[in-house]
Amino acid sequence: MIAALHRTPPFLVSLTLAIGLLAYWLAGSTIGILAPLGALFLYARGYLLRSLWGGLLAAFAGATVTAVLYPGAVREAALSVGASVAVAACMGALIVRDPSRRGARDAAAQRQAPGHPGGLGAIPDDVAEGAIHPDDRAAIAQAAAYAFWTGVPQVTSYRLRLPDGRYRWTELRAEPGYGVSVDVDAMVSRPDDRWTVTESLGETVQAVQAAKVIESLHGKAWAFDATGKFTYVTPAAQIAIDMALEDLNRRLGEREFIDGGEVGWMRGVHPDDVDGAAATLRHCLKTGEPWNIEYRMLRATGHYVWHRISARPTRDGEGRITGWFGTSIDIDVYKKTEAALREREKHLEQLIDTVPAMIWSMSSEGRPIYLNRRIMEVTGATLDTVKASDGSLSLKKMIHPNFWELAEQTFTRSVVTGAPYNIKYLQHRAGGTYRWTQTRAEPLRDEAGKIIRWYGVSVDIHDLITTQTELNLRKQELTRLIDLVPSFLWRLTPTGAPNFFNRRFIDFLGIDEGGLEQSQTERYAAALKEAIHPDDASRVWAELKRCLSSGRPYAMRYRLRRHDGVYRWMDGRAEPLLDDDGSIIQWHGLSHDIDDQLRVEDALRESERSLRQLVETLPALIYCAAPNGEPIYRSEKLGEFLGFGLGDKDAEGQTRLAGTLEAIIHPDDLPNVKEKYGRSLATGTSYAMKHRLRRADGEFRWVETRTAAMRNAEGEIVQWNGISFEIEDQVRAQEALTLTQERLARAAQAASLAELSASIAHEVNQPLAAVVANSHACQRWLTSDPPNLERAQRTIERIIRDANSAADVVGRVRALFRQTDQARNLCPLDAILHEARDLMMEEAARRRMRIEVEVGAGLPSLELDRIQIQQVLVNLIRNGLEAMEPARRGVLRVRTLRAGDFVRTEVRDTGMGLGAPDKVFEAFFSTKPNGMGMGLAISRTIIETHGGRLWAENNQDGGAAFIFTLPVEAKSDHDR
Amino acid sequence: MTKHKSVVAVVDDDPRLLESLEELLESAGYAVRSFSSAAALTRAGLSGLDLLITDVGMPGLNGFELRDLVNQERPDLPVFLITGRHEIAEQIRARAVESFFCKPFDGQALLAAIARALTQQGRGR
Repeated sequence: MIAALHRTPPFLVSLTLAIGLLAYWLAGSTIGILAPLGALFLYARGYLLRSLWGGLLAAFAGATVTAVLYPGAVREAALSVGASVAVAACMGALIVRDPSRRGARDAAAQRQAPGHPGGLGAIPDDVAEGAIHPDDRAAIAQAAAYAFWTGVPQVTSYRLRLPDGRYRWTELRAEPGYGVSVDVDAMVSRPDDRWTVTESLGETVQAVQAAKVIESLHGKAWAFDATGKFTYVTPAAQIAIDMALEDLNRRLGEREFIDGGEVGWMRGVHPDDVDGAAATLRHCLKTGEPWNIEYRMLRATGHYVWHRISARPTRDGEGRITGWFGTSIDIDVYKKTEAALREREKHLEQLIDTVPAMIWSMSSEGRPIYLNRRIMEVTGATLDTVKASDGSLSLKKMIHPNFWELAEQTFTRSVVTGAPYNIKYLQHRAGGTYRWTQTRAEPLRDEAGKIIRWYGVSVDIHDLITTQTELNLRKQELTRLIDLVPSFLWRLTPTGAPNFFNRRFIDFLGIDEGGLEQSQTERYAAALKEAIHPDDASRVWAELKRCLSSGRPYAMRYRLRRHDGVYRWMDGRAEPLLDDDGSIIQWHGLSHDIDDQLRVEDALRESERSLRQLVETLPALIYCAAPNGEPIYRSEKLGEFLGFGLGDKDAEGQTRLAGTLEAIIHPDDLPNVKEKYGRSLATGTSYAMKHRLRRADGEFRWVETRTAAMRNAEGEIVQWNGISFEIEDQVRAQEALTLTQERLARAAQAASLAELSASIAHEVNQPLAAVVANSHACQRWLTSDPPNLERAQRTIERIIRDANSAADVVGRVRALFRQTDQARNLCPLDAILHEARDLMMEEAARRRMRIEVEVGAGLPSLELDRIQIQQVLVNLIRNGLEAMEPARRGVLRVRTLRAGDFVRTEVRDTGMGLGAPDKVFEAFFSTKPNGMGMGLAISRTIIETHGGRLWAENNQDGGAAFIFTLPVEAKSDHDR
Repeated sequence: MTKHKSVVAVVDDDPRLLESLEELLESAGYAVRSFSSAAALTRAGLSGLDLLITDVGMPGLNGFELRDLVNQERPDLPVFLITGRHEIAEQIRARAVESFFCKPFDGQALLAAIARALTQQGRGR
């Protein structure tokens, strides 16, 4: 603190003085004068200081006297002043430096300064030169010099003269005057150490003189003669190695040193160095070359210490060597420092090699100098592979060819300008691959700013780059995706400001992105505000506001104006993105153009409405049923016609279908309808039938009903759609038409039979006419006069011939009705029966009659002429229906069953029965007014040619039965 | 009885009938020219003929058409029609046409009708 005060500028001290006096003046307290007094002590010296002390003492005495003599306020003031003066004196005592301590500090400082003019820089100031014993002065000087040159502290004893004139041994430590960072033992010399001088210097006088000069400069020196025998050695040196001159020169073998013998000083050299030292010395002695060598010397302490030894010869006027002088410098500190440095460098290299980074350095000209082990391991490079033939940097083997040019340019620019080097490229790896690497280098400059070296580090950033590339790619993909999505995507801040529109939305709204006077958000918000249809705007903004405040998802339909001014319906949705604590980060929204969809929906609704209208206004009865046939829909017209609703006929124990059918279908048609409808439902085939339908007023009306299955894409039936046309009038007309047709058919039948008979007559008449004419001619020839017998005879021959011809015609007519069995196939009789029934169904219905068919089980197929048997059945059924005609009502029953080797078929009517059952089969017998009576005859012929029988009988309960049998194994009539 | 024989032409597609008529007419003393079709007759020509007997049902020109044709060329030539189709015969008979005969026809009646026709023709000449 005191030191700090000493450094305080004088004006601050003056300021302190002023403030203190001002404080004293204003406060009336003597405390204020403490600071100025302290300041005075700080600067007062010599006389002034003594005066200050005196003044304080006088003031203190005066105050004490005053305090004793004057009581009251005066005493108070006197005491206060006295106390202040006492405190000021104490401060002064603290601040004023102690002269003796100041002297000690200066001495320490001076000891550190080498090259003191007096040559005794290491000797304390207060030790006058004269106080040192004259004999020790040289040793002290040598020790100081030696300490400086070698860096080894010298501890030397000397005699110091006391004030009473006696001498006292004391010790001096001479430091080298600079810091040595290695651990070095001080060299300690003692006065009782033994050293000697030679008795005669001989020829080495000059050498010894030179040695002493060196000694005076350097602290240590020696001289030896031309044979290597020491004539002078600095006493301190003798002491240091604990060898006197005699010891050094003592011959240890037969031979002299110069002849290769061993001498005493060699014992003081490290065994590893001694041969080299001796050999070089002998060589120098012989040749006169200067002797320079380093070896380890055994010190008295038992330690070997590195020394550098130099010796030069002295020559006389003829150039002959008269002796040698030299010095040995203790270089242990240097050696140790060098070793320590080497160690540190090695450590540093290890550090650099083990650091997980690729480090390198190059010279200021850009020549590679160093690669750390890691860079070599990782890249496979060595100093040689990164050097061109001229030693300059070559990156050809280090980096990818694509980057050669860029790296070259960057590198050259850095080397030329000294700018830091920074580049990213694909760097070669030991495995043969390339990886992204970032290389940075900075120059190391000297004090003058000149570049000494470049240091660089390469960092593998491949994963980073690939990750970044991947990320960029992802981002691009995402952006593309967002722009590609055929919807409008947007984002709002929690307050509802739009901060993102995707590309499609921007294009849709026609936002100009060039304008920079507005922020993007402002631009988007303005565009959106303008685009929303005025009729929708208020509810859109209100709903958005509600969603923003409540956080619930937003969903609305509204119109947006496209860039071309067309409003399009949008389906807009948005959901909030929440962070971990549930607060909204932003809103993500999507608007979908549903304009086309809405139009399609409208069109669909319109189309559905018009279809329904169509269905309801069509002059037809329309219904729909579930796949199982249950009614599910009736058109209004059908509902009105039937007079009841879909479910009105539901009853326990039966389906709605069964209930409905029974309620609306004529009982006579019901079995057929049920059977056919059932078959359609089971097989999925369309259904078409004419039947009577009960109207609401109870009257049955003929309708034609058609039903078809509606299937889905998989082909499954989803619904049955049906339509019924009222055909009452049509049926009536048809009945009338059929009656006419039947009459016509009968007439046609008659006509064809007449034609047949006419043609038969013609065929027969032709030969008959010839016979008749010939007969008349014959008669005339016979009755002529004279009778012409010859002509008569010829005529009779012709008559016979033509009569036979007529008989042939009759035979041919018979053959007309005889069928061959070529048309026969195995047929199931029941199938033929059903066909015949279907053919006659309409006729039966018109006559208000029913045909019931009963087929026995297990009927075999028969070999039949299908058409002929069908003709027989149709003929028999028609006969039966006609027989029941007078009653205009009744059931014709057709039954077929197996009877032994035959299949027996019966057609029973409920008519009047037959008067003569056998006669009906005769040709041209007919009970009917218009009949030709050929049908039954032909039918019997057909059955008989099939090997069966046809006959008629009367039923017990009235009516007739026509029965025919057919053999199970049909035989052709040829076999009979 | 004149020495000149009347010439009667007969047309019928049935050779048996053609033969039997030829026999009958020859037995009655007529000269007969037989033709198997109307075309054959027209090729031969009508000159020299005193009477024509033709079948109705024939391929090519039928009997009625042949008669109409002959009537144009020789209105004086009597033409007799014969047919095996009774329904046709009945229609014509209903119109009391004498020169029409049904197969099988009565030979004596035919010859008598021919003689009558030839006589009338001779008287008219």
